Amino acid sequence: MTTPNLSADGTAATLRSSGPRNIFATRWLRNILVQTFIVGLIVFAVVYFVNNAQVNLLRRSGNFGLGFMATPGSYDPSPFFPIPLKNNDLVFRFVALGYVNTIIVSLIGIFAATIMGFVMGLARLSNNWLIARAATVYVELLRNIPLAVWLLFAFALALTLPNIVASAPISGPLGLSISNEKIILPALKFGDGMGAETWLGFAPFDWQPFKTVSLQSSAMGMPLVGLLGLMLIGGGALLVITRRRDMMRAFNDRELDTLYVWLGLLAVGVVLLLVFGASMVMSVSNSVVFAATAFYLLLWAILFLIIFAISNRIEAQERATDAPGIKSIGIIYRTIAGIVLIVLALMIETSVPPMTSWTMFWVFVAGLMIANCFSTLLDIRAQAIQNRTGDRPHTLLYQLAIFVVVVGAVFVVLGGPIGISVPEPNKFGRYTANSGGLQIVNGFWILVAALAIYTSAFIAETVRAGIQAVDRGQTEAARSVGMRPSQITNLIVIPQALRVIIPPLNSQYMNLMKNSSLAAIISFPEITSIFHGTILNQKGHAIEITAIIMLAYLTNSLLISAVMNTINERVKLVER
Amino acid sequence: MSNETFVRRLDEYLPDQAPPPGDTGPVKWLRENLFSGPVNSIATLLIVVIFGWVIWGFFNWFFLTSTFHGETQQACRMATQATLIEERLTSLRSEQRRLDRISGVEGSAFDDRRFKAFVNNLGNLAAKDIPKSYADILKNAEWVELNKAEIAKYAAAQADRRAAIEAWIDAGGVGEAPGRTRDPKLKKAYEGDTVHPDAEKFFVDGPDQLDWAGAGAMIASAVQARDLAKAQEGVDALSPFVEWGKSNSGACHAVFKKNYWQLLVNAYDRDQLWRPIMVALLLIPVLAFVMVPRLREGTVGMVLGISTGLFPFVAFFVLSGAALKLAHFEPIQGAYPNIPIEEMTQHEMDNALAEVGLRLSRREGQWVEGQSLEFVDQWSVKLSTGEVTEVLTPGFGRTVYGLTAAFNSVTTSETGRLLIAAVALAVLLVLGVVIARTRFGRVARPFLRFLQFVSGFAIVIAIWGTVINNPHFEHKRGLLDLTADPIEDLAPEELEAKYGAHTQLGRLPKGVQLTALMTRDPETIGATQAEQDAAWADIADNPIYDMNRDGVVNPQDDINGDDWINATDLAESRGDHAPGNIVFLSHVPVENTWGGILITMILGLIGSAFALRAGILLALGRQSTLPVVRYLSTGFIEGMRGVPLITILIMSVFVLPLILPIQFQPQPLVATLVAVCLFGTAYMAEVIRGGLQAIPKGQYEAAQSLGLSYWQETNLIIVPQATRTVIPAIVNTLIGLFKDTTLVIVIGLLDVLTVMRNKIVTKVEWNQTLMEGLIYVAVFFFIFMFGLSRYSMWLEERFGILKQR
Repeated sequence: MTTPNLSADGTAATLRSSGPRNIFATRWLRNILVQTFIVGLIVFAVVYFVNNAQVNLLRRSGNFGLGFMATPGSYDPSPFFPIPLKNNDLVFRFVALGYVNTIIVSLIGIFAATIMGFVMGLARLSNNWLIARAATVYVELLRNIPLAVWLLFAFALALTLPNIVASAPISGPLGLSISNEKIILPALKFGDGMGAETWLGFAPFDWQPFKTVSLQSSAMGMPLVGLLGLMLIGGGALLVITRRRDMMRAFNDRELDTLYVWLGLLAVGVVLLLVFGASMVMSVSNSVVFAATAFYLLLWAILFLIIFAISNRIEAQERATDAPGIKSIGIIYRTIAGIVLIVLALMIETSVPPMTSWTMFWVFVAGLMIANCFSTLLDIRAQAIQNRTGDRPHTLLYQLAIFVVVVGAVFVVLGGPIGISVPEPNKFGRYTANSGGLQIVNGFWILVAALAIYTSAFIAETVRAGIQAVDRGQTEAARSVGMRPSQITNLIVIPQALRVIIPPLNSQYMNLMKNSSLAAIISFPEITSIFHGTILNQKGHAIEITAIIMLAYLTNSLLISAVMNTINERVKLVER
Repeated sequence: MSNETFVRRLDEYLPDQAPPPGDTGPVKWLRENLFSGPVNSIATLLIVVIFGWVIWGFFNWFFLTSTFHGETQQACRMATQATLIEERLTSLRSEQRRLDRISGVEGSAFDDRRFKAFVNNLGNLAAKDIPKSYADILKNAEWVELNKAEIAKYAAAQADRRAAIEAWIDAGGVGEAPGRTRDPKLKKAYEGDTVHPDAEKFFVDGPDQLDWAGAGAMIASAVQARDLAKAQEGVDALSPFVEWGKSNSGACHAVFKKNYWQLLVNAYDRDQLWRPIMVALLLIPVLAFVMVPRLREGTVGMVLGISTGLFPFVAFFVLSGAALKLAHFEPIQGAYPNIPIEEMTQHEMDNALAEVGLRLSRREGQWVEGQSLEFVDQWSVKLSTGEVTEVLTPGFGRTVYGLTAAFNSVTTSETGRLLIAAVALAVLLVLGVVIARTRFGRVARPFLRFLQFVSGFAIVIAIWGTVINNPHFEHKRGLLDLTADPIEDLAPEELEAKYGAHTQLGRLPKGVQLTALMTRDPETIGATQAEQDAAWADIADNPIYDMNRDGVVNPQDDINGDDWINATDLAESRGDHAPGNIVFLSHVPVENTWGGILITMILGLIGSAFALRAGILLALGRQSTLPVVRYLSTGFIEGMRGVPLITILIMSVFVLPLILPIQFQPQPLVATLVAVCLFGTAYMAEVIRGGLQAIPKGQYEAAQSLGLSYWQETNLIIVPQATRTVIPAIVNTLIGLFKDTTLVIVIGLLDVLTVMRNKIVTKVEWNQTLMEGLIYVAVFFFIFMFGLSRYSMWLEERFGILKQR
């Protein structure tokens, strides 16, 4: 910040002059004064705003705190996975649903946008005149029209689909149907086989050692695990990143202070959560339930952090050496740790009876993890053999076999708990939550499609820039060595282009995640739309709600950044 | 060995052969670019098929089968219905066959519940909807003529009623006022309960003599009688209608044709339209200043520069007017005054006591309901329990609170606000001159431009952007209305002596006085029955009752639907019952009146102007060596970039009123502007930081070796180069900001998208035209954004040449 006489006396001559010294000429003093002034200004502003907020809140007889999160809210959630909700469930559960939906939408959107973006980026550079022009039209149309318009456009298109009741929707085999309300698909149904009890004699996960405090009425289960767990994963990732200087340096190509600011923001969020959480616990009758759930989750999170830290130690060792032994230890360790974490989470979840079909799903995930562990071990062995002899043994068939055997084993042990649930409308031609199948409200795929297509245009531009940044000599050299065009693209161009592409991809992914908040305008139950559209109207508490939404998005941004930087670390040019 | 040199003359060469036909002209181009290999050929064909399909579908829908005419979308809808009826009959027949086959009993389909609903649906469609749509079309075709006749009829009826009122008043006003009753026939015609009688007639013996209504009735009765064969006959009779419908089932362009003005500015009154037009004219010198570098020099440059700095605020003033809007909630107390107890007026004392009560109620046990208070001195009070307690403990808190209170009391008074605005205006002007004329101005330009912007914001917030919540200002009619305060601290008898009996009416403008007189119980406002009667009588010859002030009484002016076009309508149409008019510029409430492209442009332009200035400062702050500055800048940038714009909009609309004092409650537009400005700033700062980092270290070193100070170095050497390198990124950010202004849809501010979606296509006569509306909005954005990006390419090229030298 400037001072009036700053421009006149910046020179060294003034500093050394022997006359009465201007204090602003002394650099350290001036710096301290300026900074003190700024800090004072900010303190005054904060005090002023807080004072006004107190007066205004008193005037509107609003109370401050997160107590409203544990009161019943009124919301009509469309039947959408993964959290079954009642109409007058606790506000907290709506928010959890919103957060989980945000994450699901963002993940699917990112996946689809990446693929479409790469295809379109390559198409823009195609030798085929028509394809290149078509891709240009695609990109320019999408980039120059706001996402909100595209979203509403997709919404209007979906409204032209056949009415779900008045006339027969577009339908296919196995109960598949498309209408202007939702898409209904047949689904895999877990836990619908002979049942675990008949095979093993007992239900393997109906094990409730922590049932000293009843969690019956909380029914928090997975959403809470997901919500708090993800926040803590962010913290854990950060801890790891700060511990390792190389990752820290590469953190989004930003400086160290960026990282500290992120940490600060996160810390502020955690403190707010603790303070608000305390007020929440104090103010509701079922506070014990909250406290108990929070306690278990905290234990789980601490365990997770410890496991994560150790895993990273091992990974650091892996990077330092090529020894297959250490790599094997790493993969086995991570598998076991993942399964332990899943089992613990299940214990928290299954202390709320009855055992849900999602339990079985997680058991299958654990099975897949075991299979993945074995197949990776095979890979490590193959690599070791290749290093020693130069010949790499074939592993593909073995790996496939491992997956089939392990998953099949889980299937058999659990009594074949997979069935196909075919959706069946009731006698009025309507689909309800009990109709079975996977019912996806149109808002979901509209949102995902609009986000993915819109972002893919930006990714296409990034990809094009990245590919054009690869030196022409590289392509020519590859051609002179006799590589085929597909080989040139896959082995020469793309690996080098990735170095340029990945840093901007990070911000595109973050944009996609943030843009998912536009769900508010098509009423898809995502965190902003639930909070802002419904709960703010019902309960007030603007400051707290805004703080929570912002915290959620900041956490997501942080997670995306962390993941992308890890990837960037792998692909970037190693400089010495 | 012969030493012969073999020379071949030129004409001995074979003559040039024409290249094979596949290697020249368009064929060559096709072979090289579209069909260079099997994969490429397949891809080309695929693209041709897909693009052809999409483009043809769109072209067909948007141009070939679209409807350009009609006052409402009835025309479009009828087309759909006509097609629908045939389709539904077909599916009904197949459903019947299916159900009969399942049950094995002929006619069992008719007992199925779903089938019955289906039949009813079809019957309704045939019997009611199609004839009604058809009639509406005919009505629309003749709309202008019919409307004129109807308006004349309506005006005559109005005149009759006025005469009746006069007669009623002359007779002494006994019983119910005659004007309250209405002509049931007119009501029917105007509220759309039925189709227009003339249109109905036209429909029955229309020019083509097609008894489509009869066909519809036949279908309806046939399906009710479960005779699908007979229904088919009806459908056959309807076939010309269906044919017509099929060839007109495309887009409904009438939605744009009839509403383009609303898309531009939403709902300005006709006599206020000069305002957006004037703003658009004022924009010309601003754009010239921004886009033509030559105009930035000399006196012309100074004048244009100052007017550019002033533009957003002049525009805001012209668009919204200076009048202060009323707040509709009661203040509990004013600011706690930081003045000695002896100097407090009674009013201030009451406020202070209320404030203290609030403060004490926050401390547990110090305040119970019904307690009384007494000031001991400025900082301590005596409770009725006898206990003396400090309101604020001495020290830092007291100082801060005193400062806050002093600030609040200055900003509470209108004079204080005017003073702030005047000072800010003076600062803005002086800064403009300084920037253009002085060496210091040239050196510190980004900073001074930012200050200019901040002082501009101060003007807006001090006057137009805020709601005065003070009973002392509720009577004010405009910025320059400095008349006395009617709610002075006078005893009732003194008030009466000063203003006469109508103490509460005395200051109101005539229209509102009349409204009050006509609508309220006379006694509550200190008027007599005779005066009320006179007010009712006065309605006949007062042009103010014509809402749009165009001299024509239009039935649509009757907005509260009581068949009266009177001052109530006027007040409601202006958005407030308060006087807020006449003296300077009338107030145009932002909430429902402004909108369309106007708001999009205001948000985008002001947002980008602010973002450019503040972004430079923030980027410099992020690179600063002072840790406090660096961390604050980084925190702001990262925090803003980590969350979606929607949450920032929500924050500014819901949280800003909470953390600002009660007299500074921002209007939604101002709150949105603040959000957009802050959001844009964070992104712009990152872009400009990229430019700063791209500058070679030698530039800094060279500047330092010349003995330039930090600000000289920054503003003369670094920033000009940094902004120049990142021009494309800057324009990209601006495009993003413009596109993001559409997000105000979530807080209900009426930008171009929201007007289309929430105001136009939600009207009864335009429903089901969302798609067409969105396409027009998309076309607007595409032209605008594509133009901007081409402009940035041109700039890049131009500066690229400069860079290469």
